[in-house]
Amino acid sequence: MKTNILSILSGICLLLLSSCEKYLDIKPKGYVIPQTVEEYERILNNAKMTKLLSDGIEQLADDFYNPTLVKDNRIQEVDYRLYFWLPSPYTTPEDYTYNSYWNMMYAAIYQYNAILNGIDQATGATEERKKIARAKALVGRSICYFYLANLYTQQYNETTATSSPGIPLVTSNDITQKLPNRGTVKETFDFILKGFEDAISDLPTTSLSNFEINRAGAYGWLARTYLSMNKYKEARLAAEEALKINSTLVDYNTQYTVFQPEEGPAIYTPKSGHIFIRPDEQPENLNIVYYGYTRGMAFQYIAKETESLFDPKDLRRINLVPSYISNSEPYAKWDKKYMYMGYSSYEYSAGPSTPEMQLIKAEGLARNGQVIEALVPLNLLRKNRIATDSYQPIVSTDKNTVLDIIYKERRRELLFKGIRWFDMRRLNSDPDFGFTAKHELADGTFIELKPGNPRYVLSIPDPAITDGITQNP
Amino acid sequence: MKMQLVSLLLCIFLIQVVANTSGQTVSISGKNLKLTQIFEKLSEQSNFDILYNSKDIQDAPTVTIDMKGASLHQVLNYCLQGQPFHYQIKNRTIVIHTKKDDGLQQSIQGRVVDEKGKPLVGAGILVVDSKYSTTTDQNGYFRLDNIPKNLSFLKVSYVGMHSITVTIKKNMGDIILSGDNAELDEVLIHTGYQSISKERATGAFDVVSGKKIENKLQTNVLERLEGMVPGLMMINGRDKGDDALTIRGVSTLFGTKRPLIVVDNFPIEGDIQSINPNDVESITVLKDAAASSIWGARAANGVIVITTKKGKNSGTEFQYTNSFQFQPKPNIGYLNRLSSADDIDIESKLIPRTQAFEQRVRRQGTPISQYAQLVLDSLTGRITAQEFDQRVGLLRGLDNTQQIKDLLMQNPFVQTHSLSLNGGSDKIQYYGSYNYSDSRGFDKLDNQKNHTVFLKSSFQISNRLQLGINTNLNFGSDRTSPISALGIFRLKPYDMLLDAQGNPAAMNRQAGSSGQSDSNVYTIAERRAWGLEDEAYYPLLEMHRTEINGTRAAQRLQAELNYKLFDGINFNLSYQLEKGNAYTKNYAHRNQANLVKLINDYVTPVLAPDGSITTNPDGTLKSPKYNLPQAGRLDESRSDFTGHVIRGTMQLNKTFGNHEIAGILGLENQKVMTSQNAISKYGYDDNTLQFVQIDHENLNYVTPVLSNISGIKPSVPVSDKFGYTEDRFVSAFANASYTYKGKYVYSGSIRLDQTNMFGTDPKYFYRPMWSSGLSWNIGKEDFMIDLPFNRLALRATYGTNGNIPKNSGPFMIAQADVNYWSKLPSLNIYNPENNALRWEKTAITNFGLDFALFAHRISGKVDYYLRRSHDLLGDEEINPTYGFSTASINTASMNNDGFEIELSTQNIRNKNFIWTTTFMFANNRNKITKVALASAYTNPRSMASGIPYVIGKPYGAMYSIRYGGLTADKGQLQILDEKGNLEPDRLTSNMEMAYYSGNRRPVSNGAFTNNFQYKNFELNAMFVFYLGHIMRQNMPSPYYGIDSKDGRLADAWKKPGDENHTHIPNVVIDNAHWYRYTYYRNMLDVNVFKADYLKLREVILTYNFPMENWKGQNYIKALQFNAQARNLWTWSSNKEGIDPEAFQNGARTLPLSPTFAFGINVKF
Repeated sequence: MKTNILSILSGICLLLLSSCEKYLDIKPKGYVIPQTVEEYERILNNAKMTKLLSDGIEQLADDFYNPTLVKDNRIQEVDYRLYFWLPSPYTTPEDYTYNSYWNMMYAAIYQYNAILNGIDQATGATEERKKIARAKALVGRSICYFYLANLYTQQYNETTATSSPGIPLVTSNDITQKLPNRGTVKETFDFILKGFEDAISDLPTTSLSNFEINRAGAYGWLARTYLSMNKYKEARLAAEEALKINSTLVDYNTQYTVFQPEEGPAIYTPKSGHIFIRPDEQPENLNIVYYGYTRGMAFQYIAKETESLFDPKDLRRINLVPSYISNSEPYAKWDKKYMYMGYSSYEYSAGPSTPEMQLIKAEGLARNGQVIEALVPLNLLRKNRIATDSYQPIVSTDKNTVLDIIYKERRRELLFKGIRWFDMRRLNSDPDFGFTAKHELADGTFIELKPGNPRYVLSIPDPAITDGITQNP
Repeated sequence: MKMQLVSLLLCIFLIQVVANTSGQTVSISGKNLKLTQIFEKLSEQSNFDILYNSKDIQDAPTVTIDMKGASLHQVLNYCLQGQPFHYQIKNRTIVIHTKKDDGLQQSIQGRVVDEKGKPLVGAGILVVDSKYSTTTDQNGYFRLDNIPKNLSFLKVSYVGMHSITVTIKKNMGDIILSGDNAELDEVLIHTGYQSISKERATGAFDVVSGKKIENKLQTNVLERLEGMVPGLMMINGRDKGDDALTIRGVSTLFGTKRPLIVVDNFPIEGDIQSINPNDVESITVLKDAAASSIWGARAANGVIVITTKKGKNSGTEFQYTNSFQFQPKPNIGYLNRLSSADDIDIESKLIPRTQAFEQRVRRQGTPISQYAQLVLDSLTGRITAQEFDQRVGLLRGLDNTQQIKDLLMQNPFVQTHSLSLNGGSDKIQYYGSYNYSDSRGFDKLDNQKNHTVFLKSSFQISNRLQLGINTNLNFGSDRTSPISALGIFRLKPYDMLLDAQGNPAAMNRQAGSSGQSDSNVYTIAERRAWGLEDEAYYPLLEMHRTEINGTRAAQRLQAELNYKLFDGINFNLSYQLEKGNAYTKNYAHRNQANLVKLINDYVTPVLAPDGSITTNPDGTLKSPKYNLPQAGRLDESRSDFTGHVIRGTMQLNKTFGNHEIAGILGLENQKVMTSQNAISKYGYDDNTLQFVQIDHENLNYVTPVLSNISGIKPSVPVSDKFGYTEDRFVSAFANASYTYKGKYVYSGSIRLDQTNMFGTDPKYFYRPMWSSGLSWNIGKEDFMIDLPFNRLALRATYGTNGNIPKNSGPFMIAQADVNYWSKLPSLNIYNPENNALRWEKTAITNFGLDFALFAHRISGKVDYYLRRSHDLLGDEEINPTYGFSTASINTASMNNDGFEIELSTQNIRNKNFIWTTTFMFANNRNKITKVALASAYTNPRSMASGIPYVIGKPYGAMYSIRYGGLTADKGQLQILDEKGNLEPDRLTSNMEMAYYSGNRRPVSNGAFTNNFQYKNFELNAMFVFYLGHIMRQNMPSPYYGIDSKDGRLADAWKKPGDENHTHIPNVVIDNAHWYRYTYYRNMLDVNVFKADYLKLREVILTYNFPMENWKGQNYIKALQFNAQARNLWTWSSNKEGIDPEAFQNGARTLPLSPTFAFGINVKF
């Protein structure tokens, strides 16, 4: 009897611990240690990647106007520093985290690297699905490096690319590993291009939602990348590939009407009630990237010069709204300034779209001297944007004239789409199209950013200047 | 793997014990066998060695035997029957002794109890003139076998009791020891795993008996410990918040700071409210590593072990306790609010009298005071100057204090009823209780009810097997007032609750929740004119427009099986199931001001082409569209938890002559699951239980035109959520103590904890916590015999404990979500892969001295400790290029060094009068020794306004900015840099500008208690004190607005020269000084003051009715009355008149008013 009790007791003891490793190996709910392909696929849908951008990239651009800033105005420090093109625009930990491209891009790169490093061991799906997920992650990572390269390195230039410092190409997920150093601009861009090229053939041509990367979107980003490297031919070829898959252009004439009253600005109204359609329902978008954390560019002021680029019968003017301000008056009055209007404050895509592809195609052809051919995509776009009653196709054989029109068209079509700053970097020192960037201040004076100014390259946030990562001049 | 090894070892141990005792059977048959032959066979069959003196055995008579399957005992008894030998089994050896003439043996059993019949555990039993000895078990029983009959006396001893010598009988019954000091009743230390006598302990323990806390008033049993345990600190005497209750300081930055709470040997996850304080038998506080290492990875903050009462081996006894507690309404005048007239005088200097301001207020709804409204109305001519003067004159004379007291406050009142029964026999003992408490707070409608049922039973199934079953059920409900009297008091003093006609009045306030834009009289009136519902805020009506109710239930079931395997070895298997749930319901009626405002904000009016709002001829909105249903809102949340613990232990308690060994070896398995969910429903009606399903997605696209007046889009709050966590632990532990001659004690313990919280990598698994300790009972040494010491012992221990940081792990952890924009299911990796993570660890060295002398007239103890915490987790800043700008890293270190003194003296002790004094003092010096945190401050303002972690400074360090006086011309605030220069740049990042002012947490605390007993009266008075910390007052805010103003503004600078005797700046702030004032006003050293204080925490007067005077009744056995008062008197070191217990975040809070209570306690 006693023996029996004892053996039962010791049996219980053994039971208590017999399979303790199994007992402890439970999967917590509410959070996940990614293991399956589906889980890795879900990382791709992460909001960090949807809301990739901060609006700093637009505050740097000359299309943007901040009517509140004066010299020595230090109330809104970040706005001030960006608008004045000062070094180290972001200074506080919050700024670094929520506004600095460096932190935002590397945060997204971590997520992509997690997929790239883990997908091979992931379970629960076919190799085909793994391949697609890997391809999407490769493209996503290259998009992030595209932004980093174009913000934190010197403008790409074949002669200096092999010596000028690039950006650290992080591929690991372990924060106890040592960080790579900056390498060169060439290494950086090679890495970006390789990411796109390795992925494109594995990508599906279409996707359920244009938040997901598909082949057209990847070609769109590839075209942007080549363009930022001044490689016009490659850019054109990539744009054409994207257009092969999706060449939708919405004719604004079917959407909007313009009415010019006797007094005051013209009134642009949508025909069918609802104003701007949501970016994910907009068929021209190849891939959607949102501005995160900040309000995006909706209801931001537009520089006077930019506004003047829009003809009265350009239906894109529907994006520009006169700003009414009450200024302590009982009734608000138009202050003769224009604001940019997006669909809603947070949702405005800065990803590649078919009109941008047409413009890249046109620029590629024009740069190559095929001026007549270049006019085809250019006029196609204009025809869809300008009120039918006043549309006139452009006819010219002069390369520089056409290119100039293309650049103006880029400003109109791609206003506040996160592209202007890169065009400014690309073109300001161009002998034919060079310019000095200007920002207007509240008192009507201007500050300038001359070609070749080191401020065309952003400072790297201070916390990142360790582990052999060097600061930009 | 190692865990399996441990269990294997445990099993081997068990099996050996089996072999040792009896399990073996033997078969022997033969005629006229010699004893030596029989012994050889026995030895062969049983593997037992048999020792005998062959000379003695040789001539012994032969034996004829035929036994099959018999036990060793049976065979030996048969063979030795009538022979002059007897045998003894020791380990695996049978010893055959020759019987002497006196060689008859006997077994002795009995129990040792104190004068009250309470069993004494671990009492020493020694057969006089022999080596036979033992100690009593958990229930006070002892048994000695094979005692030669020629021995006739037993010496029974117990620490703190007079030893006695009694004549041996077979059944000794209860041996009663009388104490040589009543204070030493409780010398048993419960670690939660075992109960050991104080004499055998090496660690730093404190034991508080249930009797000492039973007359206190706090319904939370932990709060009753204030002033009873040196080293235990209870900030403001309240167990509120994560770091309010600490033992020996804070030893972690982000981990749990609260000690582990153990009830009847199991850690509890439920609310402490579920413990009925009347059920508590004793509380043991484990402070150093030797005391608490047995709790391993959760013990770094110390352990509080609560042991409940158990049934007595006597007739059934009932006890009824009833108490009523009264408290006057708190003195709101303490908040030092500026009077209406002074407030108006100041606002008259501040309100901008511009058209622009008037426009903004009227259009945007900015909340304004009644006075400001009059100013604006007169400015625009809505009222005449005469009317203005008259109405301002009225306002100046108003004061809502009395209305707030009368209409929004009630006298706090608590009543408790507690009935318990207690009884049992040799076989069954039981204890049961029911407790009910009903308490209401000072806010009208605040009410809490709590019911607790507790049953504890113990069954002696056989001599060896004992079963214990406990259940504890707790049910509570509470109602919370939606209107805070304090919140209303913080509005303007002329904001009356009732208007001159006695009707409820509306008040201007910040609408507050969910980013709603504000409304004021103008916007409210405008909306009323539009035909929308009234969104004005009438505190008296609001009181019944929101119902906030909660219920909670907690159940605890414990079962324990205790099997006495062998003399001195027990096997114990125990299990605890804990379940609890809580529910809160917040129901906003359809006319609740906040809700009405939200509904109004979401009204879409019809707009004319020019953008103006179209109205009907009567001014109401033309077919407005309500995007939110015009009905109530329900917010509900539910949470529940389930905890399982199962534990198997083997306990050893053995005395061999001068050697005493006690040990425990065990395994434990624990699982805690929690889940939560919450829902919000709009358009809810509590009668029909109907609600309207609203499309939150679509609401995002609604432009709330009406709320856009101020440009803020209100969010439609929903609290829908689900949560689930599951934590598992597997632990193996062992400890042992060895006592030599009752004087020298060595103890050691080891514990291995594994948890799922660090994932499954074995690298992080095997980190045992251990301890080791020595104690020397000097008092028992021969050379002390002539000295007046009753006890003198030295203790020294060292060991480690852990602390568990939650929500981080070495793995890449992702969180599931739905991408708001793309609507696709998504995962976000929020915790990077980090292979360097481990548990926080605290190593504790403790030296202690216990003493008692002059017949316990003076007793006490001194402890000195060094606590070194390292590997503390903190969010360290890392290079953002990794993808994360911070990561949890075991990086910080912290020291807590200190000492504790406890001294009790019996100043007077005679037949009718006893006066006892107890003094406790604890000092804890905390210092952060290593830190590399992301919270590193980048400018002196955030350093001074935050609670920075700085190397060399304590947890809770306060940094301040140097006050630089007021300017002579305009009375503007100035600040200084570290060199004493006036610092002009408000945005400076010169970190030296902020300097260390002191510690926010008390450095020392303690209590001073006097107890007087005169005949049947007993008076107990306890002072508590908290010393060595500082506090900082905010500079009064001079802005105009809806809030009342600080009374100190009456001393504000008014004219040149005032700067010499005031540091309160001019209420009119210069533009040039505005930002400096805004940035720095709440962090100035001129407002830092010492926060030391002393409080007469409680006075308890007890009268024990002399039952001998009440002859002729058999029902009532004891009758006690008591009266008490709490917080009668306070001394504090500051000159501001601030009670540091009524001060928070730089501002005064409602003071504690004295509490008075009366109770009766009947035993029948």
